[in-house]
Amino acid sequence: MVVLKGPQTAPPVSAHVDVNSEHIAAQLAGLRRMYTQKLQAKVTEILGGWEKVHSNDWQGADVHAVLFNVHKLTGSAGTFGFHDVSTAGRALEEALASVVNTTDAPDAAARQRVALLVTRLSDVVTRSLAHPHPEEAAPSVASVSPRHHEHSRLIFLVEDDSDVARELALQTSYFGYEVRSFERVDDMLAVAANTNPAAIIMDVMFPEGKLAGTDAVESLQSSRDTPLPVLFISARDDIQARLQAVRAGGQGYFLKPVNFGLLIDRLDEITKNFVPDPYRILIVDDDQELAHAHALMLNQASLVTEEVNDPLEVMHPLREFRPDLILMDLNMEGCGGMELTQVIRQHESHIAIPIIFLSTDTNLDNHFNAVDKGGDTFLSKPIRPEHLVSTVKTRAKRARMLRSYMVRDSLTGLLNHRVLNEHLEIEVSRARRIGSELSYAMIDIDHFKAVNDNHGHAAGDRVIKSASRLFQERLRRTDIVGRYGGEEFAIIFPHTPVEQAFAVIEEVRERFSRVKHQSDASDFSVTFSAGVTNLATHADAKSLSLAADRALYAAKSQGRNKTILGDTIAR
Amino acid sequence: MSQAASLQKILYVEDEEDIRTVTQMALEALGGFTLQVCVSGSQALACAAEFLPDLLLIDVMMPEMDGPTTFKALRATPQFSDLPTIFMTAKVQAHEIEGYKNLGAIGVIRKPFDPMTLAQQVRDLWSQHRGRT
Repeated sequence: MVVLKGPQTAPPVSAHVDVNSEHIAAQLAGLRRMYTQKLQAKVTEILGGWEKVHSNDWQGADVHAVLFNVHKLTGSAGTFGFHDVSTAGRALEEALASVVNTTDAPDAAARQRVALLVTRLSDVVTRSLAHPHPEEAAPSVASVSPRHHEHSRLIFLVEDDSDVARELALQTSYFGYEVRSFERVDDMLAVAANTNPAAIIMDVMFPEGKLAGTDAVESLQSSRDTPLPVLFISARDDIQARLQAVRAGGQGYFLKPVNFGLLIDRLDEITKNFVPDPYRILIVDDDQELAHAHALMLNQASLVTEEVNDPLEVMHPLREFRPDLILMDLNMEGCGGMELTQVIRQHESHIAIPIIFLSTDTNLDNHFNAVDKGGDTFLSKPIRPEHLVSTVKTRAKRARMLRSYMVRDSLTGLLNHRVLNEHLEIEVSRARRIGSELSYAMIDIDHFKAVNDNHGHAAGDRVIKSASRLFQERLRRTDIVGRYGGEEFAIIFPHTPVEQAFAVIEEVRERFSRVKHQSDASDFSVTFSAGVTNLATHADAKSLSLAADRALYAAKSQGRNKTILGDTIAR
Repeated sequence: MSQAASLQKILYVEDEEDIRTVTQMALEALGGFTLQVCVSGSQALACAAEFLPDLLLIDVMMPEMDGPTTFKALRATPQFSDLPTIFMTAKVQAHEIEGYKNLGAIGVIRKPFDPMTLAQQVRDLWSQHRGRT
């Protein structure tokens, strides 16, 4: 990473730099060696802390201690060349942080996710130490594919018009991106030699040349193993410029004035920033050891599992754990797999969930019979781990994709009204049962009809998309967002005190009010009103929902563009 | 107290030894700046008056006194009421970064940082800040 090729291309900072450059490279290499020696010890400390978290059943203080150490590791490893370690550390840090931010003990799925990430971090460190950094080797240009570095939000913007640059940087930052602006192509190239952004937004024309942008990108990409995602922006609409953009490997071309919404959509796609949740597998088998063994096989492949040993207990985890797939033993005491499947399929909401049977039975007739009764496929025991993982993963992935068509709104990707209400029932009953706090918010875009009337329905759709994107950006994994109606949204905040939910909604409200929307008519901005309530003072989901609605109504009648807290909270 | 037009003296606060060493190299040897390195918030408060920094560069997550607390304490003194400050943090979320700017920082440098471009990042944030005032 650090081999310096003669005089720096970056603006010289002081006269003695060039003379010192080899000395500095040597110093850095020395520091890196020292850090390498300490790296294993750092990880061992984290693993020790993790042991404590386990054995003390997730005490807050223990979790915080591990979080602190992981945070430090994440923040330092990449500086010394261990980018993979920083990436793995960051994922673990996020998972731990989300556990720490809730008011009660984390559920099994959350614990498993953390456990998986701890193992992964340890593996990454072992691997990194076994293959010491090839920094002494040739080219100085980093060739890490975007997925593997920690700058998943970093965007390089190269634009010589400072007004355009400022506006674009600002609007892009509202959607969670960190924008680093450059006025000159060479400045960006110098930095890109050592830092991988998630994507580059590049103007085409510069004082340096009418195709300076596309030329620069072409040369940048040719010096890399894996290309960086690039989007072009330009006032030029001619085919020559567009062709050059294609040849330079651009993944988008936006005419100025740039439509920010479309740009953000494309940016999301090319940076692949929305990473799916791991698949959840419910294992139903009265053989406890075998169920556990299968669970471990699946965990190794980054799948989250829950085991049920008494078939009669299956309905509860089915509702709460919400698996993507059920792995079921065919021959169980008390209730056979085929019968259980039929019971499950009686429920409308479980008609589609894939069920894979496991059995020592090699009789094909029984296989067909089982599938006929509602199972999806049949696997023979004993099964090789790789076959189990492959079959389960493929089907879980497909099921999730199909399910999302049924439960999600097509414009925004958020849950639809019906499913959101189902979730609310589940979360309310869970919160009641374990005594945790639950908050609920209802949001409605202000004057939406006017947006459609003045700017058209396409613009209206973009506004809806922007709002949902901002929510998705800001909310945690455990929060549940839905599109409740035309311009209405609802958010369920499990394990969240109402003040926190209120603060989050306010943040998004503020940010949304500053987003610039565009239409053929003109640029415009939009606001929303919101009502937030807390389960504590309500008997059930319905009452909670009504209260949120009343609070929303109050926000509207009090001038809009505000969030109102419903009820007084007994503390 | 009027701010310096050019950036020369940086008060740097970081609890992790390895990072201190590499930053010192990056900012002094490569960047040509003059650094006062402190290992904790309390040490920083003690030596600020004598060093008279142009800029405070401070890690967010530190034991005992964290970055923001140290920053606020320093800003409470009339001498350093608008000392330009850059936070260093491994946190990723944009709204968190906005939070630091709302506190009064001129920018945030994310960790892990690239030692070869750290000085330039500091300069960029400094120029942006100077451009605004």
